[in-house]
Amino acid sequence: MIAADYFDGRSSRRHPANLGLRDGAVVVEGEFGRRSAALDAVEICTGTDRTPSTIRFADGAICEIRDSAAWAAELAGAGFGVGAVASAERHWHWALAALAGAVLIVAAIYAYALPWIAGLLAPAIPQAVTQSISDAVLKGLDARLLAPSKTSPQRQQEIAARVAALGGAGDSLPPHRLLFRASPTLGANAFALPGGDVVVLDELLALARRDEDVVAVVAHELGHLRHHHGMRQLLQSAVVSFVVGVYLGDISTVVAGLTTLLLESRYSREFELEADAYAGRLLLSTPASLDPLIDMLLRLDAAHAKSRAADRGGLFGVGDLLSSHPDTAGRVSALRAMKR
Amino acid sequence: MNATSCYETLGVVRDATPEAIAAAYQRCLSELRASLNGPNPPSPERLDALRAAYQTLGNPASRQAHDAALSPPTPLSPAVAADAGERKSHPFAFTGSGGEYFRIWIVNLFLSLITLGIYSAWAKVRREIFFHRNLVLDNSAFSYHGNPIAILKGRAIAVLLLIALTAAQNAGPLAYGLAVLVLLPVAPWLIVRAFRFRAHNTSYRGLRFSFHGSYRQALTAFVGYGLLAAISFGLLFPLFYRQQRTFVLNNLRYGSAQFHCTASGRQFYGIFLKPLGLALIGMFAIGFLAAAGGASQLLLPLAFGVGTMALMLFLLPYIRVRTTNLVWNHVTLERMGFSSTLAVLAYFGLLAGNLVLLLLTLGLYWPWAQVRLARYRASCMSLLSAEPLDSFVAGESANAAAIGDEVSELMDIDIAL
Repeated sequence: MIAADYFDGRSSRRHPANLGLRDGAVVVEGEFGRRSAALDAVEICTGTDRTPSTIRFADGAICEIRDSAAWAAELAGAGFGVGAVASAERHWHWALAALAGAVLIVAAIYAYALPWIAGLLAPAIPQAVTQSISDAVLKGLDARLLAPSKTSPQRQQEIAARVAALGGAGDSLPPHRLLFRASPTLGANAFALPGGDVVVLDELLALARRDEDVVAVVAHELGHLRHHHGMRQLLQSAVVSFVVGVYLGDISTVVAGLTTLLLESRYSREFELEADAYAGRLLLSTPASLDPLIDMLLRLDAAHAKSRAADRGGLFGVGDLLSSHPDTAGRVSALRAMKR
Repeated sequence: MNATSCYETLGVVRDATPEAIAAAYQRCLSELRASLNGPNPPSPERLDALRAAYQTLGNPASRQAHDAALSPPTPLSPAVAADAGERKSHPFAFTGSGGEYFRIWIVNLFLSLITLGIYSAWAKVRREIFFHRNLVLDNSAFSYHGNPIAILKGRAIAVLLLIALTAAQNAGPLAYGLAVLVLLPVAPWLIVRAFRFRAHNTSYRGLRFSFHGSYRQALTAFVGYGLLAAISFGLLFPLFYRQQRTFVLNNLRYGSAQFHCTASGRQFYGIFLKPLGLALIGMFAIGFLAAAGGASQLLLPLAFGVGTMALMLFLLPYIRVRTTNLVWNHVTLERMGFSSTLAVLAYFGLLAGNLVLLLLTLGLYWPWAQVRLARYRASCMSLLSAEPLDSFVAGESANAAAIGDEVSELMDIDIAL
């Protein structure tokens, strides 16, 4: 028999009682009398070393047992376990296994599941939606970072014609529109917006030695468009920043922002490689070679390294990790491998 | 003495004789001494408060002045006053350990992840059971009876609402405004459901709690007073805050016994005045910085950041501690009362320690942090009763679905009792 407190469910009066199991039935005895019920007619909640166990009868009466270990042993003797989850919660090795499992699941979602789902969803997003997002982004950039281009309309048309010629030989190009802007802040750069706008900056034209160099960079941007990188990035980063915000939001928005950036950089690195591969295939299908692209990658890297040095080098070397165009050497060697 | 009266500090009734006051003072001192070497030593302020209270009440002139300042009269009903002198203090205690909760928490997390969130309803039940069963009063533990299926349904509705709200937010300010307008009258309904579910599924000594607040009351307390607080630029915020707390407690029953909270608006203002003043000074300082130097481009966001941090780290916990003490020291349950003695400095220390350890362990310290907080909160709380806790009887039972609880949890409405 195990000591217990019996409460009849009608008043808060405590009745000292003794509790036992007989023939698959719970028996409670005390000064109030004696009551018994079949084990499957009561609700049993097994406690731990510190928490009491309870037995709840159908009419709401409760038996509270402080010596949970003795009660668990009695139950086990009658063939009743505590359940898989409860026993996992009691053992450190299961808890640590759950920790390892949780980390693995999160990593797998981050590395595989999320990019896969975003890849499925992004092409299905209507053009009207992506276009309106692009327009909003471009409007914001025009107001803050971009200035009108000083490139002559004639040169703009020449470049556009050369880009259009890329499509003639191989597969058709993704729908796109070339836009020219200037931006001393952004420096030599070109970028694609999800709606199909490819923005080329005057600074990039200045860095390029020939028009082929510019076309190579635009081909890379067309790769982003072909693979819907803009919308994929948007979807993935929405999920990542939501999760990181829930996890770290209480601590600091700065920490949360940096972590999000760090996690997203992996995605953008993959996108860059994918866009390079597309540009490589596109350029190889024409008389052009890959040299302009490789050349431009190196020159862009050097130009940005210089401006980074001028800014006194980012966040103590974290800058490279956070950069969306990292690891130029790796990209160049991937392109050289294509060439052969 | 501002928020609490000297009578409450010493635990005596308003018309206690000088002898009774002296005896109460001696008793408080010996309790203080006894707890000095315990796991939760009292704060130095407690001793100061006792001394100050005894000095005030020991001198007829200062006692008279104190009485005059105390209007309305101390909120003890006559029935309580009759035998309050012999009320015994039953301390609450939290018995759970961080390691135990870590195991529950991590198993919950793993199973929730692998079931795409479906298990989270069961996880919630296991978490609540842990926190309820480890809360002990007079050798009996609290219990939680929430049904995971009801919680799961609530969560599904909460997620749908959240998606609708996010979609409206993306669709433009007009759609978002409309969605908020639609949700505004729904929110009180959800709040009432949440409190009903929570109260109904909490029990102690075989008796359930219950919540009887109406939709109309919730609408007044949350939406009505919330709007008042907004249009008064926060000046009426303490009243809004008081309304929320009293709405919860004045509609709460244990069995058939009714909780009653008599903390006044003036007392809430007493608490909010200090942090509000500090916040104003901070805002002036930032404004001054902005006006003074065009050179302080970097300084301004920095000052703003520091201000926000101070608000999160100090003002909110300060308000939480002081209002919790105020509310519980003014709660009656039939002929019983409560005493809450959270100390601001100890609470800050606890939060700061938790924050540092959370950062160092990448968040894995979370369960220990929660348990430490629960332990401290429980250790500062007692039930004051002249009779044993045997005489409560059951009230009529009612079913409560889980919807509200889950929605308000997801939308982050703080409903801590």
